[in-house]
Amino acid sequence: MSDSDLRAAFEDYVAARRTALLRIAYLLTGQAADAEDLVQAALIKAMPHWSRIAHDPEAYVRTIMARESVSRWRRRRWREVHTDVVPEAAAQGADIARRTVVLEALAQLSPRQRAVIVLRYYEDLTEAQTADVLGLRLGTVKSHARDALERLRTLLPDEDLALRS
Amino acid sequence: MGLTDLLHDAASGAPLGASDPDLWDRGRRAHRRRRTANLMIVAVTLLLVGSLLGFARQQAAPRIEPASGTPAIPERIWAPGARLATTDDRGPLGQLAALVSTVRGTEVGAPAPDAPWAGVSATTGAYRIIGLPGLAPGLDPVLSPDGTHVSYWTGAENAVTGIADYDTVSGTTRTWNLDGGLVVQPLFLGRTRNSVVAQFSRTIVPDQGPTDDVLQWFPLESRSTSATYTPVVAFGSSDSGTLLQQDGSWSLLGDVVDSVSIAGDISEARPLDNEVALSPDGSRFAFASQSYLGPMLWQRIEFGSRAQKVPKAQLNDRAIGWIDDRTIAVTRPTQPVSDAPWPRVVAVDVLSGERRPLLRLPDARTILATDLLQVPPARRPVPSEPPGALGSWSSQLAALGVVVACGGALILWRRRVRL
Repeated sequence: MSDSDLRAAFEDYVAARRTALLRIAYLLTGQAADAEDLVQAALIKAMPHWSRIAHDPEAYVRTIMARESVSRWRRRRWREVHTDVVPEAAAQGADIARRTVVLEALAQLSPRQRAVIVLRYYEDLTEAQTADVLGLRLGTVKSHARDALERLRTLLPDEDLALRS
Repeated sequence: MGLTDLLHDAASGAPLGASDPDLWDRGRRAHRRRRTANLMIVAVTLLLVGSLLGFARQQAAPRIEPASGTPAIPERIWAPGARLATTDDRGPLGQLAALVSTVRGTEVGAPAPDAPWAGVSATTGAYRIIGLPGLAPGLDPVLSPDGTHVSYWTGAENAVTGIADYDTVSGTTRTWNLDGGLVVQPLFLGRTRNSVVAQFSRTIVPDQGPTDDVLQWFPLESRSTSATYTPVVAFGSSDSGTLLQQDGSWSLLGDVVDSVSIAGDISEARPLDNEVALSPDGSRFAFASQSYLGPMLWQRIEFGSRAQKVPKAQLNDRAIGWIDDRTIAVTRPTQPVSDAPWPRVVAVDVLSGERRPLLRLPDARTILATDLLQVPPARRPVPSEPPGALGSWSSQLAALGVVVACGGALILWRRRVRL
């Protein structure tokens, strides 16, 4: 595959999957601007390997996003100021209020717990796939999931968190 | 609503920002930067490891026992640099064990002819540049056998005019003018216990070659000199006197012993480079032979003696002095530098040929106080600031500076390439 073909395939993938990737990133970061940064960073990191992953880039990009969200949080936490209110919650409505509450609850989780929840219950990955994406042991993923769900039940008492096993 | 539904609902609030058409090019640039950063990290790591290893090597310099104060030749003599203290500033160094050129000869160039000479103290192992006023460029000085005097030719390059003798204990220098002509060609400079011996040819009539050879003695205790104008060849000197070849025979012209002549033609055993090692008591001598008899010969100085071959002697061996009645000190000046960057002096038994290591020298030009060969070599302190090397403090500061600079550059670079 020539360089121009690779570029075309990359741009096609970005055009097709950008919105979906932004949604994952939004759940992982809780911030619109950070979500865009995270997606861009993941795509830029994936680009040099495109000739190898072009047939199935989704898993690779998802892995980069999940791991980058954890490592970015580590790098940034010392210079960030947490707020109790998600900025996007300015415009209130019933649906928006619920989204805000959910995002705030996710923000209360540790980055790894948040990543586990997003991959397991938004991306619908198995525990083994989640462990593979995050580079964790299966037992660690299970314990993160258990702790995260327990926390979410406390943070979202009005929601019935019906879960898959 | 289950958790999956809640997450999908929350994700629907994600931004819809416009796609960045430049993403491919940005990715390529970032990839190049990251690759450069990785190369930098490797280079910095290698630099740090190299610095640390160099520092560790410097710290691992051999620990030497304090000097005993007994005159002896250090078992290892270092290559001096030109930044040493001099006798002009610090005064005389005292009895010397060796004289070392401050510029070492290399494969790519000969030593500078006017490079100063450094003395090595026989009692402390300290190094100091010896002030030799009027030293004729390109002509090596001579160290007296006991290391207390340095004799040398004086004058300009290719225009020798006299002889001087520097006292390493008092710091005084005596000078004599040569009984010369228009042009003096130095041939031999030797040192006995009481005299400087110089042999030279001289040209008296302009536009003609040398007209005669002169062998002239300069007694230290007298203002008058003596000379002979008969054809002789001088080969070596020691405390006892000067060994000459005259009319086909060896002669020891005594200084503190009676003169002796040895009958016999020397043509079968001619010394290589006209150099011999004469024993301090004048009883024997040894030399590298240029004849078929063998690479190393020795001979007693007594009537009727003949040269004997030193067993198992090696080509390029050169005798530099006597350790005892049957052992000579030998060095190999023409050994390739790559093979032995620090020439070794070995002790060789002239009867059995048995060899044992004795000294390590910085180069083949090093001149030893040959009387001190009879004393076991001493372990002397390594110079606190190794001659010719960076000082330990400056080395450590430089290493620290490199580490800090590398670390700072690395942090800045990593910040720059961070996405």
